[in-house]
Amino acid sequence: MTHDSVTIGCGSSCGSCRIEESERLLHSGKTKYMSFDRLAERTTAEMLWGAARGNRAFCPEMELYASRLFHEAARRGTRLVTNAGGEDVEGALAASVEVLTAQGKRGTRVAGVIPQDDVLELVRTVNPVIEETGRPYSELADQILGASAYYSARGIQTALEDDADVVITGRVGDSALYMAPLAHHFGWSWDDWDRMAKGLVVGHLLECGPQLSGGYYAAPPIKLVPNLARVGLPYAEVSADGTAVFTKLEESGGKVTGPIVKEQLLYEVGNPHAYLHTDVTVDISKATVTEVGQDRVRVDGVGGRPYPDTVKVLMAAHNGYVGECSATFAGSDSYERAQLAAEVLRERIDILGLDVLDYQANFLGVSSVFTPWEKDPVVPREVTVQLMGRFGSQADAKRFVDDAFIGAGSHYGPAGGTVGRTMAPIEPMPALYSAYIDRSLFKDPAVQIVEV
Amino acid sequence: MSEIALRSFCHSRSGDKGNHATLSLIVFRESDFPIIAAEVTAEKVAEYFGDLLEGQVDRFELPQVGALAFYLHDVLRGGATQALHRDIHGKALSGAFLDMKVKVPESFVPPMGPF
Repeated sequence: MTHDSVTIGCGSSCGSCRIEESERLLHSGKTKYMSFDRLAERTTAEMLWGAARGNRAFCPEMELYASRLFHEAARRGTRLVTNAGGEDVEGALAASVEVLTAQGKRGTRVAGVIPQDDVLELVRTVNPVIEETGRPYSELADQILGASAYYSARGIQTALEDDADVVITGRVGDSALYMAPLAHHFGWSWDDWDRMAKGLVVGHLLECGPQLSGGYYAAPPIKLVPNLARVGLPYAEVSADGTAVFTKLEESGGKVTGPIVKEQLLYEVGNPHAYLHTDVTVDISKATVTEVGQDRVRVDGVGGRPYPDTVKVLMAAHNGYVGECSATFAGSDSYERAQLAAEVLRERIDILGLDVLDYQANFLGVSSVFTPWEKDPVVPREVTVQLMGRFGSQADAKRFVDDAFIGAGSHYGPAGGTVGRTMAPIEPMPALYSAYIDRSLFKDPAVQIVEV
Repeated sequence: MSEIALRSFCHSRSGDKGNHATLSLIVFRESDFPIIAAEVTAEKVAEYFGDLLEGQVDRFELPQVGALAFYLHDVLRGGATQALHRDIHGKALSGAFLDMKVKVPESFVPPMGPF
C-alpha cells in the first residue's frame, strides 16, 4: 500500500513542555504520529548519575504521559514515540503499563525498545579517546559513573511494525524519533539516504516544538509573534518523497514563517554539509525554505549520505557539587561593590579551607553572558552578582552558600547588598564526556510489547 | 559607508554542542545577503567574541536561505554540564552577536518590519 502523505507532530520538546499543548494537538485529530523528545544531553548526565545511585533512571513525566495521552492516542489511532525511557526503558514500560492498568482502560499496545549492551563495559574495553579532553578514557575511568549510546532508530520501526500504539525508547538521535515513523509509514529503505535525511530534518525542525511555531523568536519591535502566551506545538505534512510542509493548529498562538523555519533549520547544526547521525549523514547546505500559505512553510532540497562508522557515546562523570548565592546592588557604583563581593567570597573559600574545584562570579546586567563587555565602560544602575562555586563535597558547597549569604550582601559584605529571599539548592553536577565507538560492537535493541 | 548593527537587518539563533556553540545569521531581505557574506567573516566573528572564544570559528554560507552558519569552538566555558556561568547552552549569544556592527553603503535603508 502506498501513501501520498502523512502528518506527524511534536508531542513535547523537553521535560517541562506543556502537557495541555500535547493534548490539544492529539485531540485535534490532525496528526497520525506524534513524537516526544525528553532527553537533553544534560538530562542523560543526571540520569546516569541517578542510576549509579540506584535511583529512577527514566523520565519523571512518564506516568503523566501514560495517564493523559496513551489510551487516548490508541483510541484515535495516533501513534506515539518517545525517548522518555531514558536509561531504564524496562522501568518506563512497566510504569506506563501500571498506569494504564490502574485506569482500567483496555486496548493500548505499549512497546519498549530495550538496549542489550552494557555501554560502560564497551567503553572500558575499547578505551576510546574522550572528545573533550583529547585523552584516553582510562585516565578518567575512576570518575565515570555510567555511559549511554546514541542507538539507531530502527528498533522504533520494528515496534511500529508489531502494531505498537506507543513506542518507548532510550537515547536515539532526537530527530530520529520522527524519522523512524516516517520510514515505517512510507516503507522507506534505511539505505535510501536522501529520504532518511529528509525524514531526519522533519524531526530536526519539529523536535524543539514551539521553537518552530513562534516560541523563542519574538524580539519587539522587529520580530513580532501573535499570542505568544498561547504558542502551541507544530506539526508537518510529509510527502512520500520526504518534502514537508510545516504548520500549526489554527487555534494556537504563534506563527510558522520562513524566518522562523530558517532559524530552526540551522539551530544546533555544527556543519550544514555533514550533520552526523547514527542512521544517516544529513546535508542541509542546499535546503530551501518557502512560505506556501498562512502559517505554512515548505522545506525541500535536503540530501543524505551513509551514516558514519562510529556511534556517539555519552559518559557521566563525578564532578563535585555546585553551591550558588546571588547579591544585588543598586546605584551607579553597583558594579564596583559587586566586584568587591566576588573578591571577598573568593578569599573566604581559602580562609575556610574549602575543597574548591571551580569558582566564578557572574555579573548580571554587565557581562554574565558576553565577557568582552567587561571592557565596555557602561554604568548600570543595578547589578546582581551570582557567585558560583564547585566543591569536592556537598558539605563544603553548603558551607560556601551559608558563608556567601552573610558575606556577599548583608552583615559581612560590601554596603547595601541584598541576597533576596531564598538560597539556591546545592546540586550535584555530573560532567558529561563523549567518545565515538565502532558501530559494529553494538547489539540491536530488543523490542518488548505489552498490551493492556 | 556607514556602520549599523546586524540586528537592524538580520536575525540569529544560537545553541550548543558540548562546549561549542552554533550561531546563525540570517537576513530578513534576500538582497542583503551579499552584505553579510562580505562583512561577517570568520575572523571578524572571532575578534568580536574576544577572550570568550578559546577555539576557532568555522563559517558556512547558505545563500539560498540568506544565511551564514557559524560554529564557535570552545566558547561555552565548559558547556551545559560543567560551566558555572549563566548561559550554559550558548542560547543568549545570538543577542550579543546582533549588536556587532558592519559597514553598509550610505544609501542603505534597513528592511521594514515587523517580521
